[in-house]
Amino acid sequence: MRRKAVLAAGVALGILCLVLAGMQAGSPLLYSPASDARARDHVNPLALRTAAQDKSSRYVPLVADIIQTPGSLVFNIKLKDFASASQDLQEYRNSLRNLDTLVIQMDMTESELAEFKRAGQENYRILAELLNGTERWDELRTLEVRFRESGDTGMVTSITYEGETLKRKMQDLYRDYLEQDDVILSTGERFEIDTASYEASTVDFREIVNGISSEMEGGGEEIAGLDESTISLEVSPGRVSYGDTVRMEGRVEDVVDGSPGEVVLFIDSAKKVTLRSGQDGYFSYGHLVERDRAGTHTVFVVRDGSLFSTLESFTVDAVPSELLLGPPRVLDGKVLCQGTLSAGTRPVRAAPVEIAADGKRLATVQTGDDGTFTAEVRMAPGAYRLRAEFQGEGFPLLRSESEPYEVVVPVPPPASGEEEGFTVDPLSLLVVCGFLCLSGIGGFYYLRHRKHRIRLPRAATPVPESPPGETPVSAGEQAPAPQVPAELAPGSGLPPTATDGLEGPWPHLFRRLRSAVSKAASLRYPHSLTPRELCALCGDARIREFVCRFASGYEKVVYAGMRLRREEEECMVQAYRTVLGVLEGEDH
Amino acid sequence: MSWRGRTISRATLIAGGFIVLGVVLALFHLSATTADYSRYNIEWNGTSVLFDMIDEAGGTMVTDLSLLPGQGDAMLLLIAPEPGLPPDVMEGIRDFLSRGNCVVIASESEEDNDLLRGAGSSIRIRDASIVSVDRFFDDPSSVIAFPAGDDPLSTGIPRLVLNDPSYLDGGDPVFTTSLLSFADTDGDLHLGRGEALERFTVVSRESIGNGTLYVVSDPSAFINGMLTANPPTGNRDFAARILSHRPVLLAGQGYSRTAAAGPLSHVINLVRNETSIEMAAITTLMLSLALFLAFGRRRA
Repeated sequence: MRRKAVLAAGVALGILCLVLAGMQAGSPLLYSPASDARARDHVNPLALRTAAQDKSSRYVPLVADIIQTPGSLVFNIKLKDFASASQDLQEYRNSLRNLDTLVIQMDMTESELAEFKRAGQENYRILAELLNGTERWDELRTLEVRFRESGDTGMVTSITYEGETLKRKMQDLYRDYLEQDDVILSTGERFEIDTASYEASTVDFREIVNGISSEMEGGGEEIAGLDESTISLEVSPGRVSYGDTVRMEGRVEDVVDGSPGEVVLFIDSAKKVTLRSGQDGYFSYGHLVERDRAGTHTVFVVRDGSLFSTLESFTVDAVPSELLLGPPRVLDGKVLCQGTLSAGTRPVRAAPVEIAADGKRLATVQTGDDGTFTAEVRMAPGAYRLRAEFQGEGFPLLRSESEPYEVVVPVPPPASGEEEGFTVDPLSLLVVCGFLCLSGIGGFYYLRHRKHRIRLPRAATPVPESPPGETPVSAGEQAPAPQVPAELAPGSGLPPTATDGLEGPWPHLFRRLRSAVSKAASLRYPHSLTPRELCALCGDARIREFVCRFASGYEKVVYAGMRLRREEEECMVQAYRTVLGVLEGEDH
Repeated sequence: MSWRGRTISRATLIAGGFIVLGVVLALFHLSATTADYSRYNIEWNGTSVLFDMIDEAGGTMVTDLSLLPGQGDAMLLLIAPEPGLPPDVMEGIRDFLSRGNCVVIASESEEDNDLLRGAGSSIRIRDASIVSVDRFFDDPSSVIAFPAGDDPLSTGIPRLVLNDPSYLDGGDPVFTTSLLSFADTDGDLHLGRGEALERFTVVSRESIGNGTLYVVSDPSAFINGMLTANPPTGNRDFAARILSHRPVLLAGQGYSRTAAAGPLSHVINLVRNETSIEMAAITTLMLSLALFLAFGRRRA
């Protein structure tokens, strides 16, 4: 009964374990910090990796460099120490590059810091042009003196015109530089950085521009031959924007014999085009404004390398651009982006458009003649915020960006034949086969072992009592069956007991033994004695060892439910016979 | 093996052992909880480690916050208070402060501004998710705060790591985030337009009467995951500094989420924590055992 209860409890526990394990069988991973990563108020630190912790200390000095470097740079330009200014400019560029990297790494592409970065990049362009322009201005001054001494009025005029172009460019640069003030100074204030150096750079910049202007005004009246110029030039309209056409037309007055001549048109002192004048000396050129910087541009024409027109100018205004991005389409891990870039009603052609996801640039494409663009970008599975951006560099257009789109790139389904499943993974297959083999070998061994095990008799086996002086069994012969006393043999006349079927003849033998020992030792209450008590109370030294031996074996068989080896069984029978032999011998 | 003349088989012993082990494990499991901030929660989001530290520091658990002991030498630590404290509790805390004691309240909910107001403080908690470039773990919610000014709680502690904190207005800053931090108003964890970089106060101090009130804008700074993180966050040092700040340490258990437990675990923990109930339980157990043995002998 007790064994059944134990078995039932064991089976119940086993089933419980299997059910608990079975509930999780579908999941390859029972627990990981990542599966328990977020609660309402906090994130599980165990599921996170440690991050670099010195980002502030990298950011703030960079911002300080970008704010303060222009101070020394412009001061060096003002002192005409161009070598030091070049060095400053290089450092400035490196700082901007580092900041650009950090802004992308920190995912701050839409932040005020990104605005600061853009202002810094614009300042870099301005300062680089200021440095080049100032150097060129110095060269022009030297050349003017040389040509003036040599009496080359044509070259003097050319230099003067270029100087005028430079002056206007410098004024535009100064205006652009002032436009960055708000962003730079407010960032400096927020980061608690001293901005005095930057403010000093603005003053120095103005002095440089004023210096060039005053020198130009001083030398303007000395431009040779303009009063007697035989080439007229008109530029219209005076103010234009992206996509407009500037008409540049004029007349060469002293056309000889009605033969056409050639004039060279210069815009911003750079040769633009060679024009042939008509028989009446008329020439005309339409300049389409596309990649002209915003600001003032100078125009003049030269005939025969020595006759100059008057210096004219036109101004290009920066206008807003508009970038439209259609809903991106996801196809096979690629994202197809299509859109249009325009300035007002005009498409912007040949303009670079960047495709960025979460602030990181993925691709740059060029717009077509109709302002449209198409980009196909391969992206890893995940969710992204995608947008298109136009920086406006090199165009008289303001920066623009499209509305963002949330894009989800799904994990591609495994292609047929490439499925990494349980059934096709060689390692899994090998492991399963290994376990099956081990199970098979184990089962086979168990069955084989069980087959050859000696099964103890559940009931008494009648064994003939061996006569005294029996010879031992020789090797190779079958071992004799356990010798059981003759009274248990069939036909002995003893009635079978209820327990014989379970524990064999032992209870009956024990009762006989207990009765005999109790009688010999005059023990009280013999029927209440356990085998161990019988052993303890037996005072007869001749039989005590055998009584205890029998009692020990009896406990193993009857109480512990063990199966005795054949030798132990024989030992018990021998002990029983010895005890009864001694005691019954006394009786008889 | 035999017991009282009966032989017990080895299989019975093994099965019995398994059953006892199963029962013990089941009780252990049922006495645990996964509630956020619970002192009985040994997982990453519990505060069992902090309360072990409090036990080691000789701290006393206080349930009735309206009658706080302490004559200027006590520190009351109240982590994640429950909203809606009754007026007598607020009055009790105010009185506790006025006697020159110290109180540390860790909360990230604006609902607890009533408690601060009731305690006579001008510090206010602002519900916002602060995100910083300076983070200890690779997650925007893991914000590093740095000491701001001199204070006994911050001296010598280089940083405090917060886990999705709010921020504070008012009081004297004790710990602030770096400048590269922002309140993530649109919840996208990215610094976007309209989200300005600025320093946020996350631990603030205010003198009230003769006492001092500290407010920490993130109770998650004290959860197990933050105190036992590897590499160390430094929060354990901060917690140890709070626990040793005054000779008498009181840990608020009334109206605090640190006292949260399940129904069964509540009973088990009640037995574990209340000496009188524990004694009664042991006596009952021993009596039952004695009766069982006596009954068994008579039957034998």
